[in-house]
Amino acid sequence: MREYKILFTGTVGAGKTTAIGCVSDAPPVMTDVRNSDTSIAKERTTVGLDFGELTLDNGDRVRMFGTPGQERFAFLWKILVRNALGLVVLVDNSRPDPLADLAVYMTGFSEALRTIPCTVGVGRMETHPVPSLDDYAQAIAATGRVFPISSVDVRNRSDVILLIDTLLMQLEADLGGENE
Amino acid sequence: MSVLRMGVYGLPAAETAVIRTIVQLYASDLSFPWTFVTAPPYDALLVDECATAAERAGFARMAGALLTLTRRNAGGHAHTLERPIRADRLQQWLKSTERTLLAVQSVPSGEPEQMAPKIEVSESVRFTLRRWPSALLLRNDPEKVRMASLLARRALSATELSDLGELPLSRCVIFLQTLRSAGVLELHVVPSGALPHADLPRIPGLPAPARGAFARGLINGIRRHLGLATP
Repeated sequence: MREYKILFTGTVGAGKTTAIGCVSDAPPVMTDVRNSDTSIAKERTTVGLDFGELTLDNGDRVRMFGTPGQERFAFLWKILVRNALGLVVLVDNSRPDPLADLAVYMTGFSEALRTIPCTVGVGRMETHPVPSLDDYAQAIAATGRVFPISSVDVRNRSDVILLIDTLLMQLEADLGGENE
Repeated sequence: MSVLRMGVYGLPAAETAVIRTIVQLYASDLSFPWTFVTAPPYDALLVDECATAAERAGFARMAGALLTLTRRNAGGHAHTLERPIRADRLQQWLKSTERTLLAVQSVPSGEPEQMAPKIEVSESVRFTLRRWPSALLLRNDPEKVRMASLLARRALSATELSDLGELPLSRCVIFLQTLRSAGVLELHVVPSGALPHADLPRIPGLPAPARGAFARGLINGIRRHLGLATP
């Protein structure tokens, strides 16, 4: 039996734990505590890492880890992302500057993003349509990268599966090269 | 007939419900292509007149057409709908928008040889994305999102795109043409005799644990588990 991991990251309240819970075989293990950071209007927040998992037909497991969202835990991101199959970045479009939020994760994971697939899911677009998905595409292209970007409702299983599918397609693209 | 997506922004819940109901009622007629959606991409977006100029600029980028909901007796300007909301006026505007959108879409597809750039189906010609395509181009279509995800990762020929995406070559070629017309496709020509992927921009491959013969089995296993199609 082998174990793999997919990492979910994003701002506090972006819905990492909810997204994982949507597709996990069992309710995710959570490490939420009462929020002591007064700059964030949220009662509880993740300080360790949440995880859910998928057990495949052959017994292999894919673990889905949600990173703590706050930038002060950035040292953990580098550790968690090691050997990950891919990175899902969740952005909350209702925050004051979601493009700046995205930049934090693009920078925080920049080393890993040279090799692993990444996808960006933008939440709460139905109430906060600006910035648009095209604005995100432009911001990422300005860093010399191209990642899939889609609007996502983290409570909707099919939206979360589409995010994971875009990671899998990028892995498929890599396989094309492996077979040569 | 392709489905057209209509959304609203900034309207009170009651008016949103009215719009949704009107669209759903008209949709019982099969010739009515509109569906009400709650998230982008939008072909048409109905916004309240209170929207700011900055918001309007953002809407214009994300929707094919904008309709502004105004107060009663506001003057009846083009692309406005006065309160109270009248179903016949909304339908009239949607019909007119539908004609405009379909006319725009039919230009490249009606005369592909003359209008759309040719895509060479050859192992020596490969394609990557310069940037992620616009939401209006992808329209949340899972096939297009999958093809774009492959092209975001590395340079692929049309045949490779078809093989990896498990899609007909003709559909991949049409998609490549659309991407090229939109200016988001990068072409790479491999000199004859060179290895297909040598000297091409390529992001390094799978991380160590997934490399090797079992990698495809792993991907297919995840896909099966999530209920996604597998080869």
